Amino acid sequence: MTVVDEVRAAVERTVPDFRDHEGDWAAVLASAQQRPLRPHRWAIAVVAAVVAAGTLALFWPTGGDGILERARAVIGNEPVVHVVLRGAPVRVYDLRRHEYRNLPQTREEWYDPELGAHLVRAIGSRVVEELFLPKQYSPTARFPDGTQPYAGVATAYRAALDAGRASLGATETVRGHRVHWIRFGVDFHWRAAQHEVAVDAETFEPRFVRIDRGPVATVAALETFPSGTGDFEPGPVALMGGLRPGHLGRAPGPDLWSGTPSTGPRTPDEARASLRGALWLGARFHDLPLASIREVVHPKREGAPPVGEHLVRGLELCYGSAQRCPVSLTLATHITATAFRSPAQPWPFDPEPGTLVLAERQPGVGYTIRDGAYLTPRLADARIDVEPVLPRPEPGVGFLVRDGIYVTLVARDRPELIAAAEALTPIP
Amino acid sequence: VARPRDELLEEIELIYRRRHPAFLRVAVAIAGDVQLGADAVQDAFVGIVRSRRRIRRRGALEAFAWRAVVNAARDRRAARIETDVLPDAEAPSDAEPDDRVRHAIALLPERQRLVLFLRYFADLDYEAIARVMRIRPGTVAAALNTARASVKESLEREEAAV
Repeated sequence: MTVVDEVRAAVERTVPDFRDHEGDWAAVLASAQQRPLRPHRWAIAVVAAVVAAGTLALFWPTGGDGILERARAVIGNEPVVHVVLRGAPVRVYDLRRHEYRNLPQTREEWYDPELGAHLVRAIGSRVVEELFLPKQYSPTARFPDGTQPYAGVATAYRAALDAGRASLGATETVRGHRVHWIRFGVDFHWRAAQHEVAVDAETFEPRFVRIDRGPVATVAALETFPSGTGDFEPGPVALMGGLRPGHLGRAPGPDLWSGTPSTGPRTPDEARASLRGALWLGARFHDLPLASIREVVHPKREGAPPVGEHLVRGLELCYGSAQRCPVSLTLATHITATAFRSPAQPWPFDPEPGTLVLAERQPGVGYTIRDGAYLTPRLADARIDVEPVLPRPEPGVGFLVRDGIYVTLVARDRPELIAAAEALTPIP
Repeated sequence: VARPRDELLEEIELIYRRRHPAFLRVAVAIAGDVQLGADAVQDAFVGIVRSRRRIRRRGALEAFAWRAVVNAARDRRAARIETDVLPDAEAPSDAEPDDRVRHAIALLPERQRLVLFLRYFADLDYEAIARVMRIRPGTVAAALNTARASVKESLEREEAAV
């Protein structure tokens, strides 16, 4: 078998071939026919809207109707919209307390029709993603790295209610609250992402959000402010996929970096000299000897959008043999801008001090611009409290920051991962 | 009164039926989940059907469809990431999951990953991939070579361990 065939066969094994799947053309046609009203039907729509509005006016607020209007009424009328959403927590292992902890995950969206959108996502006290979307991009921007703004609540919910584009869905009990789901579409190029806001059945305040029937996030705030008073100040850095205010007119550039393993220190002494504060697991960890040490360098990608000067230069320590590293750790300092191409290379995440962030299944590509701020497309991999469709052993991949060194650990399973994290010590 | 034939719609249907397994496979690979991939294919074709009258180059219809499927799958994946919960990808039906290869693919730059999927899962040639991704065929070749090398490296590490 040639190399190409071998690689192809290996790649093809990762996804079923679906050769017996015929699709559902009838469903395509049916969905296509549910198109929002076309221009030549506007006249009919206007008449219908007038009739509907008149009908609602007759019954609201004493009748069972008027939910959409009441939902709209509880939102302010100032132009700037501010939304805070709470997602599922991210689970970490606290190396000081020797126990698991859940860190809250929040997403904050600011929308100003004059400025665009500003999105900030944080885990615990750490900002992990910050994105500016100029108004000409928002809310339908497609950024080269696949990042989507998904600021649908801030940018489109109120507008959909105002324009009559929102529709009433089911009435359900969600997390103990009786709510009405309100649906509205947000166009993201080729598909309309179906957003839903659940409003409290009594107060009509927004309580939950979900996109395309996905997991439910809690609405912590939805408020409005006068023009120009929103938070559009960048944090310490602007992130890849987003734009600094000074670059609002420019399209973002290509999206990924690549890294190169290189020669470098081969002994613990050389490693210690190469990287101040370098850590290891001793000359042997569990049943595995320290097999190799090498330097890993990630140069800055060409044509990068507004990012700082490169690069990651770190060390990779392999426990096992020259061919296989069942346990490995990668050390890096001053992470700037890079993507990570190997499981043994650092994760782009800055956990709270003393915590080990646990990866679920395969770690994914991530991006780091400078210390403390990240865009992590596979951020959700850090969750372990979600029941997977196919149960698998808990993976032994995690990352932490210790004394300014970013450490990525790979082990054979979760207990060994935690044991390794607790065994980390400076090279003597 | 008989409705006039919608030849473009028939052409879209033909592409959908003929290439559905490949569309689905690429979409699943991108979205990382079978249901999301299936939804992405449906999303893409709903969009194509709705906007078919704006399609100017009939000859490029299949590339157009591929682009729509890729974009829809990327959107699905982005939505999945955004909403925290990541369902696992369905394991291959006839083989043990090769986590190392899967991992290597996941860590490829997106362009390389897409080229790999379109070449291996959809069997598109370089010219077709270039049309879908709006890049040059030479860039396709370079990206595919680099992606192969990365996957091959992961295979070699695996073999050495046996």
